[in-house]
Amino acid sequence: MPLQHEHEFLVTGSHDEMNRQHYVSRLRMHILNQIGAGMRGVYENRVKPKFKQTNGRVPKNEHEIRKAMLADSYGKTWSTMMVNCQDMVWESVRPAIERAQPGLNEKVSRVKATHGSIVLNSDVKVPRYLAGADIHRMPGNYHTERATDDVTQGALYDRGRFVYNGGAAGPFADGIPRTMAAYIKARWPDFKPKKILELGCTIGTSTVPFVDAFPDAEVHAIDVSAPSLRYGHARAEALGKPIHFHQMDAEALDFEDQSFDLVYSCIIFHETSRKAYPKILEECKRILKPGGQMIHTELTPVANMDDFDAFYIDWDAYYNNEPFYQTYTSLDPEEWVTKAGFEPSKFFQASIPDLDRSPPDVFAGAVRNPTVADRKAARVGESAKWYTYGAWK
Amino acid sequence: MTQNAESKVTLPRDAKGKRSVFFDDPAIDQIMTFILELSAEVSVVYDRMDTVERLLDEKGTISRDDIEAYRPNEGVEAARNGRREAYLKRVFRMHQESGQKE
Ligand SMILES: C[S@@+](CC[C@H](N)C(=O)[O-])C[C@H]1O[C@@H](n2cnc3c(N)ncnc32)[C@H](O)[C@@H]1O
Repeated sequence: MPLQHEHEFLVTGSHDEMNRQHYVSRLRMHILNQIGAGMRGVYENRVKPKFKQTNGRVPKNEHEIRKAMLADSYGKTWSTMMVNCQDMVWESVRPAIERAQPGLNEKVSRVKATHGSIVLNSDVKVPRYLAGADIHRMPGNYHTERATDDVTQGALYDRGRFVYNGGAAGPFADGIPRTMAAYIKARWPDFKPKKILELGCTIGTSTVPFVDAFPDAEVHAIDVSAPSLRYGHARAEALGKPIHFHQMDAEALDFEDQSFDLVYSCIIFHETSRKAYPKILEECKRILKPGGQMIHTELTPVANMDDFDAFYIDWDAYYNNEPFYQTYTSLDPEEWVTKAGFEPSKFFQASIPDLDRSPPDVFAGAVRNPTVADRKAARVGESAKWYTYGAWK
Repeated sequence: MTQNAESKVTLPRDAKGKRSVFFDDPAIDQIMTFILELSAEVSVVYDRMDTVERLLDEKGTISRDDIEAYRPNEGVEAARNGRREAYLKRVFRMHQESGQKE
Protein backbone atom coordinates (compact mmCIF):
# COMPACT_ATOMS: atom_id res chain seq x y z
CA MET A 1 0.00 0.00 0.00
CA PRO A 2 1.46 3.35 -0.95
CA LEU A 3 1.47 5.99 1.75
CA GLN A 4 -0.93 8.86 1.25
CA HIS A 5 0.51 12.10 -0.06
CA GLU A 6 0.43 14.50 2.88
CA HIS A 7 -0.63 17.93 1.73
CA GLU A 8 -0.80 20.79 4.20
CA PHE A 9 -4.42 20.19 5.27
CA LEU A 10 -4.49 16.41 5.52
CA VAL A 11 -5.22 15.11 9.02
CA THR A 12 -3.67 11.72 9.60
CA GLY A 13 -3.16 11.10 13.31
CA SER A 14 -0.67 10.13 15.96
CA HIS A 15 1.82 7.29 15.62
CA ASP A 16 -0.67 4.74 16.97
CA GLU A 17 -3.69 6.19 15.14
CA MET A 18 -1.95 5.94 11.80
CA ASN A 19 -0.99 2.35 12.45
CA ARG A 20 -4.60 1.64 13.41
CA GLN A 21 -5.77 3.19 10.12
CA HIS A 22 -3.30 1.12 8.13
CA TYR A 23 -4.41 -2.01 9.93
CA VAL A 24 -8.09 -1.27 9.23
CA SER A 25 -7.21 -0.99 5.52
CA ARG A 26 -5.64 -4.43 5.61
CA LEU A 27 -8.53 -5.83 7.62
CA ARG A 28 -10.98 -4.57 5.02
CA MET A 29 -8.99 -6.16 2.20
CA HIS A 30 -8.81 -9.40 4.16
CA ILE A 31 -12.59 -9.50 4.60
CA LEU A 32 -13.20 -8.59 0.96
CA ASN A 33 -10.62 -10.81 -0.66
CA GLN A 34 -9.76 -13.67 1.72
CA ILE A 35 -13.04 -14.22 3.52
CA GLY A 36 -14.96 -12.94 0.49
CA ALA A 37 -13.22 -15.58 -1.65
CA GLY A 38 -15.19 -18.27 0.15
CA MET A 39 -18.55 -16.70 -0.58
CA ARG A 40 -19.09 -18.12 -4.05
CA GLY A 41 -18.19 -21.62 -2.89
CA VAL A 42 -20.62 -21.32 0.00
CA TYR A 43 -23.28 -20.23 -2.45
CA GLU A 44 -22.65 -22.96 -5.01
CA ASN A 45 -22.07 -25.83 -2.58
CA ARG A 46 -24.48 -25.06 0.19
CA VAL A 47 -26.86 -22.14 -0.26
CA LYS A 48 -28.01 -22.84 -3.81
CA PRO A 49 -28.64 -26.59 -3.27
CA LYS A 50 -30.59 -25.84 -0.11
CA PHE A 51 -32.64 -23.17 -1.88
CA LYS A 52 -33.38 -25.64 -4.68
CA GLN A 53 -34.48 -28.26 -2.23
CA THR A 54 -36.92 -25.89 -0.55
CA ASN A 55 -38.22 -24.02 -3.60
CA GLY A 56 -37.83 -26.52 -6.42
CA ARG A 57 -35.74 -24.01 -8.41
CA VAL A 58 -32.58 -21.93 -8.16
CA PRO A 59 -32.68 -18.28 -6.98
CA LYS A 60 -33.96 -16.15 -9.83
CA ASN A 61 -32.06 -12.92 -9.11
CA GLU A 62 -29.58 -11.14 -6.87
CA HIS A 63 -32.24 -10.26 -4.26
CA GLU A 64 -33.09 -13.90 -3.71
CA ILE A 65 -29.40 -14.70 -3.56
CA ARG A 66 -28.87 -12.04 -0.91
CA LYS A 67 -31.69 -13.34 1.25
CA ALA A 68 -30.47 -16.90 0.96
CA MET A 69 -26.82 -15.95 1.63
CA LEU A 70 -27.81 -14.01 4.72
CA ALA A 71 -29.57 -17.04 6.12
CA ASP A 72 -26.22 -18.88 6.02
CA SER A 73 -23.69 -18.56 8.84
CA TYR A 74 -20.85 -17.74 6.42
CA GLY A 75 -22.93 -14.98 4.81
CA LYS A 76 -23.87 -13.60 8.22
CA THR A 77 -20.28 -13.61 9.44
CA TRP A 78 -18.95 -11.95 6.29
CA SER A 79 -21.72 -9.35 6.44
CA THR A 80 -21.27 -8.36 10.06
CA MET A 81 -17.51 -8.12 9.51
CA MET A 82 -18.05 -5.87 6.48
CA VAL A 83 -20.39 -3.51 8.31
CA ASN A 84 -18.19 -3.41 11.39
CA CYS A 85 -15.08 -2.73 9.36
CA GLN A 86 -16.84 0.01 7.42
CA ASP A 87 -17.55 1.79 10.69
CA MET A 88 -13.98 1.19 11.88
CA VAL A 89 -12.68 3.05 8.83
CA TRP A 90 -14.32 6.34 9.85
CA GLU A 91 -13.79 5.68 13.55
CA SER A 92 -10.04 5.30 12.93
CA VAL A 93 -9.82 8.88 11.61
CA ARG A 94 -12.41 10.60 13.80
CA PRO A 95 -10.35 11.38 16.93
CA ALA A 96 -7.49 13.02 15.04
CA ILE A 97 -9.90 15.24 13.10
CA GLU A 98 -11.74 16.29 16.26
CA ARG A 99 -8.40 17.21 17.80
CA ALA A 100 -7.38 19.18 14.73
CA GLN A 101 -10.49 21.35 15.12
CA PRO A 102 -11.25 24.23 15.32
CA GLY A 103 -7.72 25.01 14.11
CA LEU A 104 -8.25 23.23 10.81
CA ASN A 105 -11.33 25.27 9.91
CA GLU A 106 -9.47 28.42 10.75
CA LYS A 107 -6.40 27.45 8.75
CA VAL A 108 -8.53 26.69 5.72
CA SER A 109 -10.47 29.93 6.03
CA ARG A 110 -7.18 31.82 5.70
CA VAL A 111 -6.27 30.18 2.38
CA LYS A 112 -5.88 32.68 -0.45
CA ALA A 113 -7.26 31.89 -3.88
CA THR A 114 -3.96 32.12 -5.74
CA HIS A 115 -4.24 29.47 -8.41
CA GLY A 116 -7.97 28.82 -8.58
CA SER A 117 -11.10 30.07 -6.85
CA ILE A 118 -14.12 29.08 -4.81
CA VAL A 119 -17.67 30.39 -4.96
CA LEU A 120 -20.12 29.11 -2.38
CA ASN A 121 -23.86 29.61 -2.61
CA SER A 122 -25.85 28.90 0.53
CA ASP A 123 -29.07 28.87 -1.52
CA VAL A 124 -28.07 25.52 -2.99
CA LYS A 125 -30.13 22.85 -1.26
CA VAL A 126 -28.67 19.48 -0.39
CA PRO A 127 -30.83 16.98 -2.31
CA ARG A 128 -32.86 14.48 -0.33
CA TYR A 129 -30.78 11.57 -1.60
CA LEU A 130 -27.74 13.03 0.15
CA ALA A 131 -29.48 14.41 3.23
CA GLY A 132 -31.36 11.18 3.90
CA ALA A 133 -28.57 8.65 4.32
CA ASP A 134 -24.93 8.63 5.35
CA ILE A 135 -23.49 7.10 2.19
CA HIS A 136 -20.78 4.48 2.88
CA ARG A 137 -21.83 4.89 6.51
CA MET A 138 -19.60 7.98 6.76
CA PRO A 139 -21.11 9.86 9.71
CA GLY A 140 -22.29 13.24 8.44
CA ASN A 141 -21.92 12.41 4.75
CA TYR A 142 -20.28 14.98 2.42
CA HIS A 143 -22.32 17.99 3.41
CA THR A 144 -22.94 18.30 7.18
CA GLU A 145 -21.71 21.57 8.68
CA ARG A 146 -20.93 21.73 12.37
CA ALA A 147 -19.36 25.17 12.65
CA THR A 148 -18.77 28.32 10.63
CA ASP A 149 -16.52 27.64 7.63
CA ASP A 150 -16.55 23.96 8.51
CA VAL A 151 -14.34 21.56 6.52
CA THR A 152 -14.66 18.56 8.83
CA GLN A 153 -16.46 16.29 6.35
CA GLY A 154 -13.86 17.05 3.69
CA ALA A 155 -11.07 16.07 6.06
CA LEU A 156 -12.92 12.94 7.13
CA TYR A 157 -13.48 11.94 3.51
CA ASP A 158 -9.86 12.61 2.45
CA ARG A 159 -8.26 10.40 5.08
CA GLY A 160 -11.15 7.95 5.52
CA ARG A 161 -11.48 7.21 1.84
CA PHE A 162 -7.75 6.47 1.66
CA VAL A 163 -8.11 4.00 4.53
CA TYR A 164 -11.20 2.52 2.86
CA ASN A 165 -9.37 1.98 -0.46
CA GLY A 166 -6.24 0.70 1.22
CA GLY A 167 -4.37 3.14 -0.96
CA ALA A 168 -5.37 1.18 -4.07
CA ALA A 169 -6.01 4.40 -5.99
CA GLY A 170 -2.48 5.74 -5.37
CA PRO A 171 -0.98 8.38 -3.05
CA PHE A 172 -3.42 10.98 -4.38
CA ALA A 173 -6.46 8.66 -4.37
CA ASP A 174 -6.98 9.48 -8.02
CA GLY A 175 -6.62 6.16 -9.88
CA ILE A 176 -9.97 6.42 -11.67
CA PRO A 177 -9.80 10.03 -12.90
CA ARG A 178 -6.14 9.62 -13.89
CA THR A 179 -7.13 6.55 -15.89
CA MET A 180 -10.01 8.47 -17.50
CA ALA A 181 -7.88 11.44 -18.49
CA ALA A 182 -5.16 9.20 -19.93
CA TYR A 183 -7.79 7.27 -21.86
CA ILE A 184 -9.35 10.40 -23.36
CA LYS A 185 -5.95 11.64 -24.49
CA ALA A 186 -4.93 8.28 -25.95
CA ARG A 187 -8.20 7.49 -27.72
CA TRP A 188 -8.96 10.97 -29.05
CA PRO A 189 -5.54 12.63 -29.43
CA ASP A 190 -6.99 15.49 -31.50
CA PHE A 191 -9.51 16.46 -28.82
CA LYS A 192 -8.12 19.49 -26.98
CA PRO A 193 -10.73 20.73 -24.51
CA LYS A 194 -10.28 24.37 -23.47
CA LYS A 195 -12.94 24.43 -20.77
CA ILE A 196 -13.58 21.45 -18.54
CA LEU A 197 -16.20 20.78 -15.87
CA GLU A 198 -16.37 18.04 -13.27
CA LEU A 199 -19.69 17.21 -11.62
CA GLY A 200 -19.65 15.96 -8.00
CA CYS A 201 -16.00 16.73 -7.33
CA THR A 202 -16.22 16.34 -3.50
CA ILE A 203 -12.69 17.41 -2.42
CA GLY A 204 -11.28 17.70 -5.93
CA THR A 205 -9.16 14.54 -5.88
CA SER A 206 -10.82 13.65 -9.17
CA THR A 207 -10.36 17.15 -10.60
CA VAL A 208 -6.58 17.47 -10.21
CA PRO A 209 -5.69 14.76 -12.79
CA PHE A 210 -7.61 16.69 -15.46
CA VAL A 211 -5.63 19.83 -14.64
CA ASP A 212 -2.47 17.80 -15.09
CA ALA A 213 -3.65 16.10 -18.29
CA PHE A 214 -4.96 19.30 -19.93
CA PRO A 215 -2.68 22.06 -18.63
CA ASP A 216 -4.00 24.61 -21.14
CA ALA A 217 -7.62 24.15 -20.12
CA GLU A 218 -9.65 26.15 -17.62
CA VAL A 219 -10.95 23.61 -15.13
CA HIS A 220 -14.15 24.01 -13.10
CA ALA A 221 -15.62 21.65 -10.52
CA ILE A 222 -18.98 21.65 -8.77
CA ASP A 223 -20.56 19.94 -5.80
CA VAL A 224 -23.47 20.67 -3.47
CA SER A 225 -21.42 20.01 -0.33
CA ALA A 226 -19.79 23.15 1.05
CA PRO A 227 -17.47 21.50 3.63
CA SER A 228 -16.03 19.27 0.90
CA LEU A 229 -15.59 22.20 -1.50
CA ARG A 230 -13.83 24.38 1.09
CA TYR A 231 -11.46 21.59 1.93
CA GLY A 232 -10.98 20.72 -1.75
CA HIS A 233 -10.14 24.32 -2.59
CA ALA A 234 -7.53 24.47 0.19
CA ARG A 235 -6.08 21.17 -0.98
CA ALA A 236 -5.88 22.33 -4.61
CA GLU A 237 -4.17 25.56 -3.56
CA ALA A 238 -1.69 23.59 -1.44
CA LEU A 239 -0.92 21.43 -4.47
CA GLY A 240 -0.69 24.50 -6.71
CA LYS A 241 -3.49 23.34 -9.02
CA PRO A 242 -5.75 25.92 -10.67
CA ILE A 243 -9.31 24.72 -10.11
CA HIS A 244 -12.46 26.83 -9.94
CA PHE A 245 -14.82 25.35 -7.36
CA HIS A 246 -18.52 26.21 -7.28
CA GLN A 247 -21.30 25.15 -4.95
CA MET A 248 -23.97 24.07 -7.44
CA ASP A 249 -26.51 21.36 -8.00
CA ALA A 250 -25.71 19.20 -11.01
CA GLU A 251 -29.42 18.95 -11.69
CA ALA A 252 -29.64 22.70 -12.30
CA LEU A 253 -26.28 24.24 -13.18
CA ASP A 254 -25.76 27.98 -13.24
CA PHE A 255 -23.51 27.77 -16.31
CA GLU A 256 -24.65 29.07 -19.68
CA ASP A 257 -25.64 26.90 -22.62
CA GLN A 258 -22.73 25.65 -24.72
CA SER A 259 -20.01 26.81 -22.35
CA PHE A 260 -17.82 23.69 -21.92
CA ASP A 261 -15.81 21.42 -24.20
CA LEU A 262 -15.66 18.53 -21.75
CA VAL A 263 -17.96 17.58 -18.89
CA TYR A 264 -17.25 14.52 -16.78
CA SER A 265 -17.95 12.76 -13.49
CA CYS A 266 -16.36 10.02 -11.40
CA ILE A 267 -18.75 7.65 -9.66
CA ILE A 268 -21.50 10.06 -8.76
CA PHE A 269 -24.71 8.81 -10.40
CA HIS A 270 -25.28 5.81 -8.16
CA GLU A 271 -25.41 8.21 -5.21
CA THR A 272 -28.13 10.36 -6.80
CA SER A 273 -31.68 9.28 -7.66
CA ARG A 274 -33.94 7.98 -10.39
CA LYS A 275 -35.23 11.51 -10.93
CA ALA A 276 -31.89 13.28 -10.72
CA TYR A 277 -29.98 11.04 -13.15
CA PRO A 278 -31.82 12.08 -16.35
CA LYS A 279 -31.79 15.73 -15.27
CA ILE A 280 -28.02 15.67 -14.81
CA LEU A 281 -27.54 14.11 -18.26
CA GLU A 282 -29.73 16.83 -19.78
CA GLU A 283 -27.67 19.50 -18.04
CA CYS A 284 -24.51 17.96 -19.52
CA LYS A 285 -26.05 18.21 -22.98
CA ARG A 286 -27.11 21.81 -22.40
CA ILE A 287 -23.78 23.19 -21.19
CA LEU A 288 -21.66 21.39 -23.80
CA LYS A 289 -20.50 23.18 -26.91
CA PRO A 290 -21.24 21.44 -30.21
CA GLY A 291 -18.45 18.92 -30.72
CA GLY A 292 -17.93 18.71 -26.96
CA GLN A 293 -17.65 15.49 -24.97
CA MET A 294 -19.53 14.13 -21.97
CA ILE A 295 -17.87 11.22 -20.16
CA HIS A 296 -18.73 9.39 -16.93
CA THR A 297 -17.15 6.56 -15.02
CA GLU A 298 -19.60 4.52 -13.01
CA LEU A 299 -20.45 1.03 -11.87
CA THR A 300 -20.83 -1.63 -14.54
CA PRO A 301 -24.50 -2.15 -15.44
CA VAL A 302 -25.93 -5.28 -13.87
CA ALA A 303 -26.84 -6.58 -17.33
CA ASN A 304 -23.10 -7.12 -17.80
CA MET A 305 -22.68 -8.98 -14.52
CA ASP A 306 -23.58 -12.46 -13.38
CA ASP A 307 -26.22 -12.84 -10.67
CA PHE A 308 -23.83 -13.76 -7.91
CA ASP A 309 -21.69 -10.68 -8.49
CA ALA A 310 -24.84 -8.56 -8.70
CA PHE A 311 -25.59 -9.83 -5.20
CA TYR A 312 -22.76 -7.63 -3.89
CA ILE A 313 -24.46 -4.58 -5.43
CA ASP A 314 -27.66 -5.57 -3.74
CA TRP A 315 -25.80 -6.03 -0.46
CA ASP A 316 -24.16 -2.59 -0.70
CA ALA A 317 -27.48 -0.92 -1.44
CA TYR A 318 -28.91 -2.34 1.76
CA TYR A 319 -26.03 -2.26 4.19
CA ASN A 320 -23.70 0.42 2.90
CA ASN A 321 -26.44 3.04 2.62
CA GLU A 322 -26.50 3.29 -1.15
CA PRO A 323 -30.23 3.43 -1.86
CA PHE A 324 -29.97 4.15 -5.61
CA TYR A 325 -27.00 1.84 -6.29
CA GLN A 326 -29.20 -1.02 -7.34
CA THR A 327 -31.66 0.87 -9.52
CA TYR A 328 -28.86 2.80 -11.14
CA THR A 329 -26.97 -0.32 -12.17
CA SER A 330 -30.14 -1.81 -13.64
CA LEU A 331 -30.46 1.13 -16.07
CA ASP A 332 -29.06 1.04 -19.58
CA PRO A 333 -26.77 4.08 -19.93
CA GLU A 334 -27.18 4.18 -23.71
CA GLU A 335 -30.94 4.52 -23.38
CA TRP A 336 -30.70 7.41 -20.91
CA VAL A 337 -27.93 9.25 -22.71
CA THR A 338 -30.03 9.11 -25.86
CA LYS A 339 -33.14 10.26 -23.99
CA ALA A 340 -31.14 13.26 -22.75
CA GLY A 341 -30.86 14.35 -26.38
CA PHE A 342 -27.53 12.93 -27.50
CA GLU A 343 -27.49 11.18 -30.88
CA PRO A 344 -27.38 7.38 -30.59
CA SER A 345 -24.48 7.29 -33.05
CA LYS A 346 -22.49 9.61 -30.77
CA PHE A 347 -22.73 7.29 -27.74
CA PHE A 348 -19.66 5.34 -26.61
CA GLN A 349 -18.83 2.99 -23.75
CA ALA A 350 -15.77 1.02 -22.68
CA SER A 351 -14.28 -0.83 -19.74
CA ILE A 352 -10.94 0.83 -19.17
CA PRO A 353 -8.10 -1.02 -17.43
CA ASP A 354 -6.81 0.87 -14.39
CA LEU A 355 -3.67 2.77 -15.31
CA ASP A 356 -1.73 1.66 -12.21
CA ARG A 357 -2.97 -1.90 -12.02
CA SER A 358 -2.57 -3.10 -15.59
CA PRO A 359 0.42 -3.44 -17.91
CA PRO A 360 0.82 -0.61 -20.49
CA ASP A 361 0.03 -2.89 -23.43
CA VAL A 362 -3.30 -3.90 -21.86
CA PHE A 363 -4.22 -0.23 -21.48
CA ALA A 364 -3.12 0.51 -25.05
CA GLY A 365 -5.13 -2.49 -26.29
CA ALA A 366 -8.25 -1.16 -24.59
CA VAL A 367 -7.73 2.18 -26.33
CA ARG A 368 -7.36 0.56 -29.78
CA ASN A 369 -10.17 -1.88 -29.25
CA PRO A 370 -12.81 -0.57 -26.81
CA THR A 371 -14.95 -3.30 -25.23
CA VAL A 372 -17.28 -3.57 -22.28
CA ALA A 373 -16.48 -6.18 -19.65
CA ASP A 374 -18.19 -9.47 -20.46
CA ARG A 375 -20.65 -11.15 -18.22
CA LYS A 376 -18.80 -12.61 -15.24
CA ALA A 377 -15.75 -10.46 -15.95
CA ALA A 378 -16.91 -7.62 -13.75
CA ARG A 379 -16.06 -8.46 -10.15
CA VAL A 380 -17.28 -5.86 -7.73
CA GLY A 381 -14.63 -4.36 -5.49
CA GLU A 382 -11.66 -6.08 -7.07
CA SER A 383 -12.15 -5.04 -10.63
CA ALA A 384 -9.15 -3.39 -12.22
CA LYS A 385 -11.36 -2.04 -15.01
CA TRP A 386 -13.55 1.05 -14.98
CA TYR A 387 -16.78 1.14 -16.90
CA THR A 388 -16.95 4.47 -18.71
CA TYR A 389 -19.57 5.89 -21.02
CA GLY A 390 -20.54 9.12 -22.68
CA ALA A 391 -21.36 10.88 -25.90
CA TRP A 392 -20.21 13.63 -28.22
CA LYS A 393 -22.53 16.55 -28.79
CA MET B 1 -7.27 30.54 21.05
CA THR B 2 -10.68 30.91 22.61
CA GLN B 3 -13.02 28.01 22.15
CA ASN B 4 -16.68 28.74 21.96
CA ALA B 5 -19.47 26.23 21.52
CA GLU B 6 -19.60 27.07 17.81
CA SER B 7 -16.00 26.32 17.05
CA LYS B 8 -15.74 23.06 18.95
CA VAL B 9 -16.35 20.22 16.54
CA THR B 10 -17.43 16.78 17.64
CA LEU B 11 -18.27 14.02 15.22
CA PRO B 12 -20.92 11.37 15.71
CA ARG B 13 -19.58 7.82 15.94
CA ASP B 14 -22.43 6.23 14.05
CA ALA B 15 -23.90 6.61 10.61
CA LYS B 16 -27.44 7.85 10.27
CA GLY B 17 -30.09 5.16 10.31
CA LYS B 18 -30.62 1.76 11.80
CA ARG B 19 -27.66 -0.45 12.49
CA SER B 20 -27.75 -3.70 10.55
CA VAL B 21 -27.88 -6.89 12.54
CA PHE B 22 -27.20 -10.18 10.80
CA PHE B 23 -27.43 -12.80 13.53
CA ASP B 24 -30.65 -13.90 15.20
CA ASP B 25 -29.07 -12.81 18.47
CA PRO B 26 -27.76 -9.23 18.04
CA ALA B 27 -25.20 -9.94 20.75
CA ILE B 28 -23.19 -11.85 18.15
CA ASP B 29 -22.97 -8.78 15.91
CA GLN B 30 -21.99 -6.77 18.97
CA ILE B 31 -19.28 -9.24 19.90
CA MET B 32 -17.88 -8.99 16.38
CA THR B 33 -17.37 -5.26 16.99
CA PHE B 34 -15.41 -6.05 20.15
CA ILE B 35 -13.30 -8.70 18.44
CA LEU B 36 -12.44 -6.63 15.39
CA GLU B 37 -11.57 -3.58 17.48
CA LEU B 38 -9.46 -5.74 19.77
CA SER B 39 -7.64 -7.17 16.77
CA ALA B 40 -6.79 -3.62 15.74
CA GLU B 41 -5.42 -2.84 19.20
CA VAL B 42 -3.11 -5.86 19.09
CA SER B 43 -1.80 -4.78 15.71
CA VAL B 44 -1.22 -1.24 16.96
CA VAL B 45 0.75 -2.52 19.96
CA TYR B 46 2.82 -4.68 17.64
CA ASP B 47 3.62 -1.69 15.42
CA ARG B 48 4.63 0.33 18.46
CA MET B 49 7.05 -2.38 19.51
CA ASP B 50 8.35 -2.50 15.98
CA THR B 51 8.97 1.25 16.11
CA VAL B 52 10.81 0.89 19.42
CA GLU B 53 12.96 -1.92 18.05
CA ARG B 54 13.80 -0.10 14.86
CA LEU B 55 14.70 3.09 16.71
CA LEU B 56 16.82 1.17 19.22
CA ASP B 57 18.64 -0.55 16.36
CA GLU B 58 19.33 2.82 14.86
CA LYS B 59 20.14 4.97 17.88
CA GLY B 60 20.71 2.72 20.90
CA THR B 61 18.59 4.86 23.20
CA ILE B 62 15.27 6.56 22.60
CA SER B 63 12.62 8.77 24.16
CA ARG B 64 8.84 8.68 24.06
CA ASP B 65 8.94 11.64 21.68
CA ASP B 66 11.09 9.66 19.30
CA ILE B 67 8.37 7.01 19.17
CA GLU B 68 5.57 9.48 18.65
CA ALA B 69 7.48 11.24 15.90
CA TYR B 70 8.44 8.07 14.08
CA ARG B 71 6.80 7.58 10.65
CA PRO B 72 7.56 4.46 8.65
CA ASN B 73 8.92 4.83 5.15
CA GLU B 74 7.46 2.82 2.26
CA GLY B 75 9.81 -0.11 2.97
CA VAL B 76 8.93 -0.32 6.66
CA GLU B 77 5.26 0.11 5.80
CA ALA B 78 5.48 -2.77 3.34
CA ALA B 79 7.08 -4.97 6.01
CA ARG B 80 4.33 -4.03 8.45
CA ASN B 81 1.67 -4.78 5.88
CA GLY B 82 3.20 -8.21 5.34
CA ARG B 83 3.04 -8.76 9.08
CA ARG B 84 -0.53 -7.48 9.26
CA GLU B 85 -1.68 -9.75 6.45
CA ALA B 86 -0.08 -12.83 8.02
CA TYR B 87 -1.70 -11.89 11.33
CA LEU B 88 -5.10 -11.48 9.68
CA LYS B 89 -4.74 -14.88 8.01
CA ARG B 90 -3.93 -16.50 11.35
CA VAL B 91 -6.68 -14.83 13.35
CA PHE B 92 -9.57 -14.42 10.94
CA ARG B 93 -9.72 -17.79 9.25
CA MET B 94 -13.06 -19.29 8.42
CA HIS B 95 -13.83 -22.91 9.24
CA GLN B 96 -13.07 -25.24 6.34
CA GLU B 97 -16.52 -26.80 6.35
CA SER B 98 -17.90 -23.32 5.72
CA GLY B 99 -17.13 -23.90 2.09
CA GLN B 100 -13.82 -22.10 1.70
CA LYS B 101 -11.31 -23.92 -0.39
CA GLU B 102 -7.68 -23.32 0.44
C1 LIG C 1 -18.82 9.50 -4.54
S1 LIG C 1 -18.69 11.23 -4.38
C2 LIG C 1 -17.67 11.66 -5.74
C3 LIG C 1 -16.25 11.36 -5.56
C4 LIG C 1 -15.29 12.17 -6.38
N1 LIG C 1 -15.75 12.44 -7.72
C5 LIG C 1 -14.01 11.40 -6.42
O1 LIG C 1 -13.81 10.64 -7.39
O2 LIG C 1 -13.23 11.52 -5.49
C6 LIG C 1 -20.23 11.90 -4.89
C7 LIG C 1 -20.28 13.42 -4.79
O3 LIG C 1 -21.35 13.90 -5.58
C8 LIG C 1 -21.95 14.98 -4.93
N2 LIG C 1 -23.30 15.11 -5.46
C9 LIG C 1 -24.31 14.23 -5.41
N3 LIG C 1 -25.39 14.71 -6.03
C10 LIG C 1 -25.07 15.94 -6.49
C11 LIG C 1 -25.77 16.95 -7.22
N4 LIG C 1 -27.03 16.80 -7.59
N5 LIG C 1 -25.12 18.08 -7.52
C12 LIG C 1 -23.83 18.26 -7.15
N6 LIG C 1 -23.12 17.35 -6.48
C13 LIG C 1 -23.73 16.20 -6.14
C14 LIG C 1 -21.87 14.63 -3.46
O4 LIG C 1 -21.95 15.78 -2.65
C15 LIG C 1 -20.51 13.95 -3.39
O5 LIG C 1 -19.52 14.87 -3.07
